[in-house]
Amino acid sequence: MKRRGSGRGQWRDVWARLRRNRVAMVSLVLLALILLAAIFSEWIAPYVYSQRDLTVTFRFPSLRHIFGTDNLGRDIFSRVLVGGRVSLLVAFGSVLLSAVAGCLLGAAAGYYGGRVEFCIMKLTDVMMAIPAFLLAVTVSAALGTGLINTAIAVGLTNIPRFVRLMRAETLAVKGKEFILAARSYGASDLSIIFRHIFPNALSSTIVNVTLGVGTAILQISGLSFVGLGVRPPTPEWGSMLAAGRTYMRDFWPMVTFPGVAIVVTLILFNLVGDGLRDAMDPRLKR
Amino acid sequence: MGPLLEIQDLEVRYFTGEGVVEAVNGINLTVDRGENLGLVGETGAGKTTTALSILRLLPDPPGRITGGSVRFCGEELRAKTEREMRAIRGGKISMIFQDPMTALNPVIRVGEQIAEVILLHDRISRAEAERRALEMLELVGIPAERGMEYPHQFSGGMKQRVVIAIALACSPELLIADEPTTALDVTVQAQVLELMRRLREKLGTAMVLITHDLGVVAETCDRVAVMYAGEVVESGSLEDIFERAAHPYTVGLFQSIPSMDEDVDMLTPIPGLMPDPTRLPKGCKFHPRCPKAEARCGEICPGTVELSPGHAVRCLLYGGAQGKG
Repeated sequence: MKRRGSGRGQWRDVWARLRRNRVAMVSLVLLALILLAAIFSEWIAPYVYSQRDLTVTFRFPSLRHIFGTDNLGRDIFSRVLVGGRVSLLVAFGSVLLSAVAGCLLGAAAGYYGGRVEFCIMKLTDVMMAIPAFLLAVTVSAALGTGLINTAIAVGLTNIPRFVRLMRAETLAVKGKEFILAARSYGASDLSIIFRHIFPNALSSTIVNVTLGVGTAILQISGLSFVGLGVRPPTPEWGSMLAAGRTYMRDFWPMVTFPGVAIVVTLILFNLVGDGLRDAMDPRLKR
Repeated sequence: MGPLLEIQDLEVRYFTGEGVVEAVNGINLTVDRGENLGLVGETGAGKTTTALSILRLLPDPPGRITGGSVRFCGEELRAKTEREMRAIRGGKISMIFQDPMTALNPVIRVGEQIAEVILLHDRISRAEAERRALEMLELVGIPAERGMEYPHQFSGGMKQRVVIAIALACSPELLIADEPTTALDVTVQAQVLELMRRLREKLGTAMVLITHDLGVVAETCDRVAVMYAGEVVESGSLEDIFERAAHPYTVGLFQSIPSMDEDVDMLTPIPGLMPDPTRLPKGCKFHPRCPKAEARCGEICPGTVELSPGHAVRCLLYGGAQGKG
């Protein structure tokens, strides 16, 4: 009989199920291309993203500049590529932070209940009472600009959604008999949370993460727009979009290309997230 | 060597908003090594609460053990720390739950779920634990290949076999089975009971079988304790209870099931319902439904009387008026 390491076997199953989902696979490939392009952007980019050439401002797409040039004569294609690296890196970092912190807090609140839950949930409520963007601006202003600080600011503001989701999932799973059964064979609280509650809450968390990446990209753009996120001349999709707004009427390439980049990336993330959710639920196996 | 499990004057209360539920009221039970005790009673008699109290798994709040002692191998379980209890749960005492449909985690492979128990109690590698898990599966009559599958791919009877494999994976000394066959088809019930009997004999495990099915008790148990409203009203050997039932409640139970030997036109159910556990009647808890109730039954709480060695009953008909009022 073939024996496999159980952990790896489970992921192999997920992969096998994901491969059968055509939409998810196409999205995954495209998303991988975008990520690779973002990572190697400095090498791929035909021009240096910060190189100004005031003789070629506001050029529409042509063979020399396939996305055109902006108000300072910089190549938009190169800036979209490099901007993607910053946007995606900061978005991933912030979502990772909020997902890990939020899931741990949410699971603790749901599992232990009582005073622990009261403290965590009240704190979450307070955070939710402050508009997310205002909170991000405040944290960002306190920490200063820069990639890591922006990721922390955006990550902190997104913790509540993960706390609330994970608490709800934990409450739903906690009452099930298999949790009592796990306790009856000697599992500790921590191992119940990690081995029994998290796997059952995984599918909804994955969806929340993919949606969270979208929100994060937009929030980072917002922060850059008010001058707190990423400093110019470092390009970033949101700040490029903001810069292009001024010329939207007469010169469409400056808003369109970064905008399309954001929309396409978000859609791909959501499609891959949907596919992953289906692939991770063994009960949906055909 | 004393008894394996000794419960003395155990008292459990649920403190709810509507009042205090007197779920278990001073029960005494002993289980010897390798013995099979049947715990019989209606829904709400406190059987499951008793079982959960042994493992200290009562939902707290609202449930709490308010008195008495639970000794396992001579050691008081109520005095153990949570860490010591975790080593006992699954290692020395394990439990099987009523509904196998919900007792397994739907997103973890069954082989892994068995391996988890072994890893929790034995210091061995994961690979070794998984090998032993597959052996356990074979032992309960499931091909080892199916360890790679998820619970939803198993039928109810197969799931209960997996649950049994989990419960017995660490060769516990005591198995508490809470209505293990209630959720199964009758044909599968017999198979599962037979499997449990075979494995228990092999491992020398004692068992407390909680059920309301007297037929199951007759087939599997050595001794029987009948519970009513949180009290053990009668206990004794299988013959004592089935041939010489003394307590009016036990007699009533037997009259309410069809018999193979006697030809009766109508079964005689016990009139009335279980009393509300937040407002238990004074005196004998059974007297409002008892066909032989006398005036004093509502006043005096009967004590335990031993009719013959090992056969104890809690009823004023047999004396025992010394109990607390």
